[in-house]
Amino acid sequence: MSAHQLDDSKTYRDLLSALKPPPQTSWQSLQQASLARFQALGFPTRHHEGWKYVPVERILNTACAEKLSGVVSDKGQALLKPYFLEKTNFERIAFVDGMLDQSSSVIKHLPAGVRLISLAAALEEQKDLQERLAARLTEEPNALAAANGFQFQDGVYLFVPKHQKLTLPIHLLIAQLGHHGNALSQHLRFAVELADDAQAEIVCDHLGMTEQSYLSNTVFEFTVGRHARLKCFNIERHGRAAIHLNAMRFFLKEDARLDLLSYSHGGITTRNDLHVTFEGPNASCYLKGLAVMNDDSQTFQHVHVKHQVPNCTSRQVFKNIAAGRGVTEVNSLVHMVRDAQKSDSHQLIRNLLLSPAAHAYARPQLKIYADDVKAAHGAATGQLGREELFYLKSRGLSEKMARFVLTYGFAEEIVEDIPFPTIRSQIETDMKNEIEKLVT
Amino acid sequence: MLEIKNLKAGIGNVQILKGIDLDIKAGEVHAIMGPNGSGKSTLAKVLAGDPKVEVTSGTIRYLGGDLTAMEADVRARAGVFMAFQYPIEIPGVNNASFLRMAFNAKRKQNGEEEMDPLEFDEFVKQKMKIVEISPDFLMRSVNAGFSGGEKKRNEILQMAVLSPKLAVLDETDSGLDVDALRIVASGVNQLRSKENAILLVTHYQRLLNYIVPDFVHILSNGKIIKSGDKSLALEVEEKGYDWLLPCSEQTIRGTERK
Repeated sequence: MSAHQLDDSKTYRDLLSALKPPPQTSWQSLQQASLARFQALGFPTRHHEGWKYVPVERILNTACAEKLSGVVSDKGQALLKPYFLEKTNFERIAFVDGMLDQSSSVIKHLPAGVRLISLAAALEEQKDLQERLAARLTEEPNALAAANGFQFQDGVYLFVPKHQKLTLPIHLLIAQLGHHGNALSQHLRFAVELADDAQAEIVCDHLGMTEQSYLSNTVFEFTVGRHARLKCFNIERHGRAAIHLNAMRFFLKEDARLDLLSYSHGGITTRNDLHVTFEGPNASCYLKGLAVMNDDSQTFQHVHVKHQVPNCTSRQVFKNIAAGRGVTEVNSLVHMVRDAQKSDSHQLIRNLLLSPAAHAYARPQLKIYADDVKAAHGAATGQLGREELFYLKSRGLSEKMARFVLTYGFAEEIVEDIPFPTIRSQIETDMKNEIEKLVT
Repeated sequence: MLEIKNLKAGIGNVQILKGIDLDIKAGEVHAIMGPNGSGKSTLAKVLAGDPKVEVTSGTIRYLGGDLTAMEADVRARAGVFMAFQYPIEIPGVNNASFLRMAFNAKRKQNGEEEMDPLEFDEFVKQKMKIVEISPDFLMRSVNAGFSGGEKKRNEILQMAVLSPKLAVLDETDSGLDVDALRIVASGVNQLRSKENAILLVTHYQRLLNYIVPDFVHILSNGKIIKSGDKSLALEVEEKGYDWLLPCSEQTIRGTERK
């Protein structure tokens, strides 16, 4: 225990308030940029449009242990093992309770020129990487994601060179096992750079194995080069008391393509900031999301697609199922600047409410300055259809089973796109268990 | 098998069925015909247990029990099946799993062991031959993106899988081309047996060329106004419904036409 520097009396707000200019460190310029951006934006409050429905106070008042280090016990390893997805061949990098866990990580076969290393190590080696990340921070709109640039304990840097394709998909396992009754906070940062014509598949797997409260602040930055292709799967299975702030930033160059699928379940408060910026023409992104909320669980999906250049295509489908006193918000902005002619975007938000106390906020938004674009948006919030229920019951399915089948069917449309059978079947099981609870 | 006595039922405050009497025995095929708005579909829905339709008086006995006291799913597991006029689309639910769930729900009710997916796959493939459906049907979502004809065939496939004692086919012929009509009708004929009964609800005599009924009933303004054998259907085809209607209604319908 002596290795742990734990102090439960500190809140996340305290940690943020205590941020001050860094001493000489190897990633000082990144930290300086982070601090400057955080201070410029200030603490988020509910008066800010982007935080209107988010329980900011709850997030900021979460008790946080300042720093953790430790070794994962055999028991912890045994708990994690089923989530290693061993039947599918992955490169795996595991973080447990905020620390890189070498014993759970496996690198099998990286093609020539691919770099997959700790972000801390990459920053030490590559000054230019630090400059690039620092430059991105000046545009960061979310104060807490900006602060992550200062606070992050570690993370991963992935570089895939020109014309190279990863042989195996990468599984980033970010797990919380809980730590001896102490509240836990982790700040991790991931930077991915795909050079021109490169390809990668990445599973960002956030896993909470504890019912204890913890705060996880993760930031991902993806730069997808010309003609490059990225498939990204963001999977969040949290403990009931978890707070997760997850910012994913995608910068797409000419002809690049991004497919993102996000699944969220559990956690008292989960905020996903999914931002896509088209930096080169003819790029496209396909975003799909599903969140399942029960009890007091709240999920906020803040999507921002910026069409900065002409001829780009964006597609979004976000579905949410809320029961109990669950809250879901999808706040999705598509922004087309004046030069972004021939942009084509489509937004769809669908919410299924299974209880009278559940809440859904669907906010598709458009900000369009170009005059020759297509931008469709739609949102629908409702309950299970009476006709559909009767149809299933008329075939002998009980009321509960009919409700289950319809709810599962609503969700399955998103999950069926996960190409890895191991992870898909885990999510389907997770979903089935949860939906069974929701429909009773 | 089914005894309906003085059945009155409606939707909201509108009374649609105004005193129906009908007896259906095992092995019989009955056809209900009638003009638009006569209450044909409401009768089908009332039998299937659609909660939208409210029974205000009268009785429906099914195999000796009170059908109106049973929820739709209980009726289905007891062998009542309605082929929908407009089958509902259920996106995200795979047709094969749906059929297996329905099939196993009934098996469970009868105290039989549930069939596993592999065994069921074989079983359902045999049934699919009855309605000439290709195997890729099973992998698609229930009715989602199906053509009109495919939906109707899927209804008959469900009927084949569930082998109901009482099948109510609500305008199964509507929207079908000649070939699809022949396939659907031949499917129904293959499922016809001495143990089960079929109630066909239809607008047109056309279907009755393929599925020959033992009895034909004409429904008008919520009542059966005439019953007969299959020749009654031919007569309707030739003369229309007007000659069967009470004078008062003929006048009203006549006025409407003007």
